[in-house]
Amino acid sequence: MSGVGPGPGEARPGHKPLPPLKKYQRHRPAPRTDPPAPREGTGWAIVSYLVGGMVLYGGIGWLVGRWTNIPILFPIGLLLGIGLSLALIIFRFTRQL
Amino acid sequence: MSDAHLITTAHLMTTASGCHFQSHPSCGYPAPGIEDFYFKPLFTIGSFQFTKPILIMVVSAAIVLFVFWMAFRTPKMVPRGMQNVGELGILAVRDQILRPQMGSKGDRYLPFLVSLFFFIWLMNLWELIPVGQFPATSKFAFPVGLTLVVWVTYLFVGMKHQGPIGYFKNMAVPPGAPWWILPLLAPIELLSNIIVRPFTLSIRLFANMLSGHLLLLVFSIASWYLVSATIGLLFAAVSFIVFLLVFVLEVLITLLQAFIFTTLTAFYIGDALEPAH
Repeated sequence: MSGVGPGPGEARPGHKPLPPLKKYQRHRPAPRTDPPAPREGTGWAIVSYLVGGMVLYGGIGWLVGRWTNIPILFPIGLLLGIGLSLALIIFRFTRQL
Repeated sequence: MSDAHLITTAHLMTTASGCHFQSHPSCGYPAPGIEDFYFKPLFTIGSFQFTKPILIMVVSAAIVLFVFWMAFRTPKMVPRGMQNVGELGILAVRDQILRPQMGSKGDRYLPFLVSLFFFIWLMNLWELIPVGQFPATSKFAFPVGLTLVVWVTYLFVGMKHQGPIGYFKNMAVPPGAPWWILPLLAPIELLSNIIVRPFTLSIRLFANMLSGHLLLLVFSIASWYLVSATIGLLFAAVSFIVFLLVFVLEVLITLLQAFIFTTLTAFYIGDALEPAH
């Protein structure tokens, strides 16, 4: 190997550099950065959201179920609570990363 | 009433006084239970009963005060003796608990977190120290008292730094959620931040220490109950080995529970300092 070719950053002789791609630059993906490391309390905060959602909507379902004599409202409330908690956790902890 | 009766429970006294499978064939294994968490008062002042867990709490607080007073009564630029120990403890809490949760802006809460960590750790450690042999934090009132302090602190800090209305507004409204789902999500946020957080904080410490104390009791009583010149000796030996293993595990858990309690306190105060994200 004689090593006479241009290096990776050098222009080859007689070769015009390409015009800057202004038009497409906005579509270039942002440089990847690692998401910030989650703080230790985040895991416990997620647990407390899950518990909170179940207690709140399970409780409402149970009360309304007792009132209207439709006991199925209790598990429906529990499931609704878990679903809403999951939505909340997604909004709180994943959208910002 | 003997003095020994004051520091061990009546249940443990009957166990130690010879409930053994050979000497009293009718005496079944005296399984430990909730009665092992109730002590006769050492003395009473009016209707206030001063019991062993309270003594443990007072002694723990005194030890923490004394150690840090000894360490920093004449602080030197180049630390010597006790000051080394004190700085080691403070730096450990700062770098492992405070900074990862709050960053350097939380440094003014370092004294609070250091006292909290060492106070809880010491109260837990009494589970493993002979004569003490009881973690004060396994009585629910102690974690609840500590949690109340933390709860009032983070609510106050939040209202001070974000304003009373802004704090609850930032707490209730998760960023990025569509408006129509907010009325359903806001109650979960409020419930989780104001009620579930302190509740789980106290329950976690209390339940871990209670179960650890019960485990130690189960295997230490079994070791005594089964020991004899028969094949029971083998069972007693196995039980004693398990007791030693649980003991080592509990050394870890006493530290871990103090760590988790303080870490979550730092997390909650850090959350109150500025709106989430």
